Amino acid sequence: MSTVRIIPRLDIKGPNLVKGINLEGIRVLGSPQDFADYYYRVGADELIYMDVVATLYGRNSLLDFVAETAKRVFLPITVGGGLRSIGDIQQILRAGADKVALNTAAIKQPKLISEAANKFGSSTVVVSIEAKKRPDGSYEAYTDSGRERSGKEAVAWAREACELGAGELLITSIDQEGTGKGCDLVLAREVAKAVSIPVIYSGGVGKKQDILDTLIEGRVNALALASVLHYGVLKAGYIAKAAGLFAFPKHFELLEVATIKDYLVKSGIDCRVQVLRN
Amino acid sequence: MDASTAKVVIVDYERGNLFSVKNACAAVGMNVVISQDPKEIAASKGIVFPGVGAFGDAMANLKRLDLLHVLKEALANNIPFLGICLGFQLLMEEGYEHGHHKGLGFIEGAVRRFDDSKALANHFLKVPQIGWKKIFPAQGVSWYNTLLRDVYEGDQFYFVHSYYAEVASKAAKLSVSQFDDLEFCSSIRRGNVFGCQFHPERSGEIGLSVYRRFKDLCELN
Repeated sequence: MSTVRIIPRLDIKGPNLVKGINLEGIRVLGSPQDFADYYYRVGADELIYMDVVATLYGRNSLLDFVAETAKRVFLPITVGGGLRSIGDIQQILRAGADKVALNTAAIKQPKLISEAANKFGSSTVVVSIEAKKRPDGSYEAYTDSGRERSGKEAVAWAREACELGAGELLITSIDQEGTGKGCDLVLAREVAKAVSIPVIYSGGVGKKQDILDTLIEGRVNALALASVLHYGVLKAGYIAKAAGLFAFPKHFELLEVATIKDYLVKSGIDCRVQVLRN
Repeated sequence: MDASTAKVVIVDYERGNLFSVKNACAAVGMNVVISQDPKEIAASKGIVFPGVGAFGDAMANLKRLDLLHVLKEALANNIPFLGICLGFQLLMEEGYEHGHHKGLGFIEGAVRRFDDSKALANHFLKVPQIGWKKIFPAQGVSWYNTLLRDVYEGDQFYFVHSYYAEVASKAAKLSVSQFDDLEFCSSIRRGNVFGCQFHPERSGEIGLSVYRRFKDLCELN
């Protein structure tokens, strides 16, 4: 039985950690480095960095940031956003990332998944699927940070990505993302049931119960969390707030990694509990 | 770099990401280089042997790069050795990943795939297994004089694997972990040779303690 994972997701734009709602309207929260160091200290299981604009400028600072973090954060680090080729993947791995998350490039060119899996190992390749609900209840995969429709049905695409050699899937509900109003359990479960590989779900967690529901009813193996953790960190004053920070949406429970782990253990879910000695 | 520090080589056989391993070595002050030069490997005071990917493919790369001999020689000569993940599995006699392949044959045993037939009923049994698992001392083994000296029974390490080593030599087993009802060997030790299925370089501070002990071992030899 594998332990579930709680993975802080750091959306990055240029030098800043940002957070939006429905992958839009991003606001600056602070320095991604401060958050990465903090999450390492408090027992996060992995980290995900998403370059949300993936401009050339963003890319260079992302590379520096990954290289810096990898020197002192000894956790698996997944990096996504704008990776288009084997060369891009190689560059980010050389900076110290352990896995890459592929979305737009994989949809446009699915064989990039198998090429990357062959070259770097399946466990290095995470396929990121950003999905939006259609009026008929099915889901469509979007590209370019939720901006462009792909025409691909998300669950079928998940299955295809798995067959092409992805080691893991990261599924984001665009509808729920950043809202804190609960996860899309149907999306989580449909994808999780469709593939034999582990699934990380992202989007909508506003309280502890949402995490448990997504693990049990949504049948996923891990959650990538952003707002609900970042707001908690800022609110508690562990990291200085960025200038002009907005008021936190009131319906969020402000959670910390350790609080979540305690809650999961008490609910009978196996997860890593960090032991501090000395 | 301190000239008295033993030179340790991370073997680059073009299978997997060496950079997180290098960062962990550097963090504990190891004098480390990434190399695929048999001469440099033969002259080193310690060998770190990482790897991700497929068993047969990795053995083919070792052969193509002319590294089989130097690695077998180092193992036979009890040079401090740290095999990680696939690098641990390759120490076995044989592997059953996409066919049947011979390994380095240092430890009696075979590498087999986890049964994922229950994954649909229980998503926690998906393969690859990815996550933090507890490790426990193998029966009758003390970790005192090993790289796991600072590790407590039940401490958790980061694993990502679809295959596991079925180790025949009871004496070589150092730790065990659990997948469903299967107890598998999560690390081995024979003399100065250590191999682990988990990734100590991705396992936080407890993982770094393994690198620290390895550095000490290299300097003693």
